[in-house]
Amino acid sequence: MRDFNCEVHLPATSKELAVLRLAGVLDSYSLPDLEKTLQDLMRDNRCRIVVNCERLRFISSAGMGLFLGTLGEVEKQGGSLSFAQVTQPEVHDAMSLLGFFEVFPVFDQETEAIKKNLRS
Amino acid sequence: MTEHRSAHLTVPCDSSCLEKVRKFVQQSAAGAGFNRTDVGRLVLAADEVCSNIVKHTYRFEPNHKLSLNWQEREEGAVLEIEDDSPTPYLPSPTDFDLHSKIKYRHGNGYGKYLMRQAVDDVQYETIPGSHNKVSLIKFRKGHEPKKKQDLSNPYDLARARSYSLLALFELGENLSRQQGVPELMKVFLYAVMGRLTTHPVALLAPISAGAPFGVAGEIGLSRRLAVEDLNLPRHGWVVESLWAQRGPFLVEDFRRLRIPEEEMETLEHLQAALLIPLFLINQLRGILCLGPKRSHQAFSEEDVNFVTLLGDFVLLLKEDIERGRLLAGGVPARGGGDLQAATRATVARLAKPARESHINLDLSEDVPIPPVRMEAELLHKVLLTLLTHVLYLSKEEGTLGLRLSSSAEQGTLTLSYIGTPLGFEKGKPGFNPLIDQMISGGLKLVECRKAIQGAGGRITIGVKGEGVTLEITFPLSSST
Repeated sequence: MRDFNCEVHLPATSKELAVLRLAGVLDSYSLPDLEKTLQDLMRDNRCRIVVNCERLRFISSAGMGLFLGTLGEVEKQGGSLSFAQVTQPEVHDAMSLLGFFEVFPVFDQETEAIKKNLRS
Repeated sequence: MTEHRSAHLTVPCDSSCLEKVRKFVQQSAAGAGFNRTDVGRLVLAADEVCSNIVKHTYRFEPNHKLSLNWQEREEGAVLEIEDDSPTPYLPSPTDFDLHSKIKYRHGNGYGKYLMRQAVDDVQYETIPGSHNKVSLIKFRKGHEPKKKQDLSNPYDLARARSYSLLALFELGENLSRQQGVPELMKVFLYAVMGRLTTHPVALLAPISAGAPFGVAGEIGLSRRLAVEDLNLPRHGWVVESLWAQRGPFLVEDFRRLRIPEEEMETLEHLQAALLIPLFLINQLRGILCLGPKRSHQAFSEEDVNFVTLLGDFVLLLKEDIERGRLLAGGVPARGGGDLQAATRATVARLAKPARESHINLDLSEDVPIPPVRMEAELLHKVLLTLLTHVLYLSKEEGTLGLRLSSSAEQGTLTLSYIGTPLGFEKGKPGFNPLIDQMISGGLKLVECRKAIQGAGGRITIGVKGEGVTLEITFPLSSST
């Protein structure tokens, strides 16, 4: 059984915003599940995405590449992709090695990220 | 004598193989005494190798195997990963451009780069018709071998030769060969070098046969080089540097500079070429890379490549200056900073603001430290910035203890805050804002971290009982 879960939360206050709460391990095997979720969000015009990584224990380059590719897609729709609660040191380090934090906004709290991504 | 452990794992390539690989590496690396970060990086690198094999070599077919061999040594560890495929496993491309991939939002192709960042060395071996082996090597802290300079990389060559004109010339030649960039590139490179250093440099520009060697004029020249000094090709080119101020450089002007070689002897064109301010290089890059704003502007791929290369070179030089590897004068940093003097000066400077915040600055162990591998001026700046930020984050009414110590190879300044300072509360989200700021925010702290790391130093922030310690370590100038 794969150790990965992606909980999708669609705030009622916005038709564009989606919050993904990741848990477990994002590697080559669990990647397709997340890829499908992101594609579904794009199709539904949910182009402001907040990814909560508090319970994410591992991320590989495939996962990070997926987010970078998705960033390109949401940007075309005038959207954004940001991260919240990247607290697991191994995940933080992996993202740092790839220069993630120079590309994506990262927030300490999910609520903070949501607030920043709600369109006024 | 230390026992050197080894361990082995063979896994079938089913959907749980990566998890088993990660667990095996995590246990082996932790058991070998690697710290949490290095354990995580070994796990990451192993996962990248195995993921590549599973995805590209095996195409997720489960009836293959992966074999892992962990060998611990005194200086570190080696993890060998073998597949069972006769298809050769390709090493990383040497022209991988992370910046470009991220800029254009490429969604894949980062695995091998990440692997190389995570471990100290990666070696590939193909046994023809049989299988492949990838060896991941991680050294323990303090056992890293001196990195061999890769002088096939033109930027490293320029650094190795201290940005000498000859090195810049070779850099230009290499870039011309590799990228097909016209000769004009060299002029811009040298112009940029001139901008970043305080010494006007003799510049090189193509001239046609018969054009005058050297240009004397009302603008003073500071240095000349004989053609023989540079060992230029027979129909090489030399003119001399010019310093004059001009107005902003427009994109239209830039496009006009792509002029035939025989026109380069025109002094005016050369003057214009020399005067592009640094920020405009990035502006130009932005304009050319993001696309024309007006429909009548059409930028060729060559224009984009040219400015991108120039911008990259400028950024490399800037980074070397920021990290203290290169002085503003264009010479390599040699170190020799006095850590004791810098600490005393910083304590004296911050005594008043500390008193006003009811914080007692206590330099309890004040010992002379041999010269460290950071320039004196930069050392003072770094310590002042760091301590100012520590004071800023500290709670009122406490004691900030400072202690100097040294070993055969390094000098250390340890700051210890007694009591839990504001902002360092455990369990609070964003715990240790000082760490976060040094990693990704607070521009001055990021610069401090880069400067310390550039000098081969280290910053460690830890929690000890009720207090927080910040330890800054510098290698001594005399240590290798």
